[in-house]
Amino acid sequence: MSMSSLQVPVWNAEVQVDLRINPGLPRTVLYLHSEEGPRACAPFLTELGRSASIIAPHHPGFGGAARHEQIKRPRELAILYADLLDRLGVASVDLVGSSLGGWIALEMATMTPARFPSLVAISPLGMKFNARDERSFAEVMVTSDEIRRELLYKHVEHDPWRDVKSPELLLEHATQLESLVHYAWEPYLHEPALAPILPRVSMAALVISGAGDQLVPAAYYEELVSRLPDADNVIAARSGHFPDIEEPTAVATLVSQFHADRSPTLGRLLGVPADRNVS
Amino acid sequence: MKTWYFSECPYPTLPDADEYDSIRVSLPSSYYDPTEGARLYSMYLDLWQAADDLGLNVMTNEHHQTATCLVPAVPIIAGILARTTKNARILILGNPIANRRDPVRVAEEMAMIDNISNGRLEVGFVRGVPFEVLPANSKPVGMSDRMWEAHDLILKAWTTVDGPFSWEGSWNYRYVNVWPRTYQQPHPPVWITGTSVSSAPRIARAGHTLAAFVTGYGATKRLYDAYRQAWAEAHGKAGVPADRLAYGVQVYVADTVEAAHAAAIKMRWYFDANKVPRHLGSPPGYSPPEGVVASRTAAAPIPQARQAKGKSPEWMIENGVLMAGTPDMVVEQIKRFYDHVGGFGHLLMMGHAGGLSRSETMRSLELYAQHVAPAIAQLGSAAMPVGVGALS
Repeated sequence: MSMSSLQVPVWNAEVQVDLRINPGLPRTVLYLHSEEGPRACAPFLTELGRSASIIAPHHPGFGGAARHEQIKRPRELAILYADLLDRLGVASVDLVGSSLGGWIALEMATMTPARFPSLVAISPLGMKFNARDERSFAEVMVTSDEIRRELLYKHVEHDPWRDVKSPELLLEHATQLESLVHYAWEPYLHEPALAPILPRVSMAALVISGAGDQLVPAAYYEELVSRLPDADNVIAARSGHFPDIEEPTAVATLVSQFHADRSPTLGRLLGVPADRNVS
Repeated sequence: MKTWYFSECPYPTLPDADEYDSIRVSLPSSYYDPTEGARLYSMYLDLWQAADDLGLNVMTNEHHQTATCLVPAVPIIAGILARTTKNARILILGNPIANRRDPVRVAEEMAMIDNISNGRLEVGFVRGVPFEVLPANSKPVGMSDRMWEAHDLILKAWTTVDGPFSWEGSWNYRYVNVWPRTYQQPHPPVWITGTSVSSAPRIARAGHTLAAFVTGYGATKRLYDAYRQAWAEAHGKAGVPADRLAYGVQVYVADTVEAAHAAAIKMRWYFDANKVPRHLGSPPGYSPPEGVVASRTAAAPIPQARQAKGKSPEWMIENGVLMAGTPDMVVEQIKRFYDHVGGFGHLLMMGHAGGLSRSETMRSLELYAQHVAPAIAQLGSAAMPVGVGALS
């Protein structure tokens, strides 16, 4: 396997991308990280890299990548990454995204469903299903680090940012929080236009959510799964909002198994229904 | 030196602070007794009226979802004062235009008040303190840019008199065509508050009045110096008219030092009662991430207003957040501050705060008007800012 990091020019932006390429593996995953940043998901990607090559862009404003003020919402990041895949010459790829990245993955899946043989959405943000005077998401932007950690992690010691002391990492963390505000302040953590077009997400989909998620109520994930044409829901028992951070090995295994079971590789595609065909 | 009397219009009759988490944003309105609130509104309006009768100017401000300030809609207060006062100039400091959903509406409100007051309005714009972003649901990222965009839009709306123009930016309009036209031409004087040195140059380049609030000796001087330097660079002359610099401070004048200090302790509620969780004071994006990280280090400077909690009147006077004592002492304190910061033209006099009573406030205002105002009148420039001539 080769690991590399490169800057890919897209529009007038530079997108920073981590690549884990193993030509011997049958599939390639586009992994879209959560608002905890690319640093926080490294253990998960190490595990997932055993079964797939991985293309992992840093969202502008995360992991030290510069933000581009004209890119204001996750839907625009979805368009950015569609062009990124074109630039990389990747015609078809399995989508995996976590939280903010899960939201972007859902946006991408609605745009060109045929491009993505499968979707794994880990605790995806992005939709509102409840009443207008009910909170969809707990307050995690304007709150203390302690409360945010309690809401987001089943076990607070799993927060990779908890004991950070170096000025560089503190700055990276503060910048990432600002970037979440930039992308998702209003409407808060969702895009009203996304939920109505969920029926377009026709590929095999797996929604993974954590049993201890206090940012998003469980009913949200149930409603999401019911609106997707072909989706299952798996609860990660030992996780809060970030199963890929709290249970990297178990979740990577789950994703690999899902890919093997539900998302045939190109070589095994003969005979599968047309709506799953990626060619 | 002009003096502008103001009160934040607090609602100070709260239970012990241990009973609630925050005096701002989340304080339940069950703590508010409408009978008491109505009494306070009446008293605050009467005190502004009295300031006008005594020859002082008046200042009003706006905050939301807080017991520290009962004015969530400052144009309403200013509109009342436009009608009931006779001579005072009326300063709104300010309109939180980064948070207002409709800047053209702000232009309309200000134009109305300017007409109703026969051109006595001075219009302040503020970015808004960090506690205001949640009540307004205003995105903290890009707030400063939005404030200046709204500023540009409002000034264009006031000064465009030949029919509609369009604006397509953070706000979108196809027909901006404000009626009434402002009474003062080309527009009322504009003020902007500044707290950091980095905010001063743009205010100076625009030629607007910079106001600092309880920033104390050192920070105020740095702020004014940054303004003066940028002014000289932008306008090609070294001397800034003193009427472009303002300082906001608590002021209490009494017949004796003891009475003044006793009142100052009551007014200290303004500093003491500002119980706000740290996170409400630093929403992500309000300050640059570098500033957020720096503010968490042990070396980070603590603002004077926060340091003033629980301090003695002597400490508050020494640190420039309070001017209190007999008339002579207050004159001396103002002059000392004036000399230290290099001069300024407007004293924004927080003459009422906390649970100070009507009669206590009145006594101070009378002594101030009788003895202090004349003694400091010659400090700074007496010239009016631009734009005060009415259309004939």
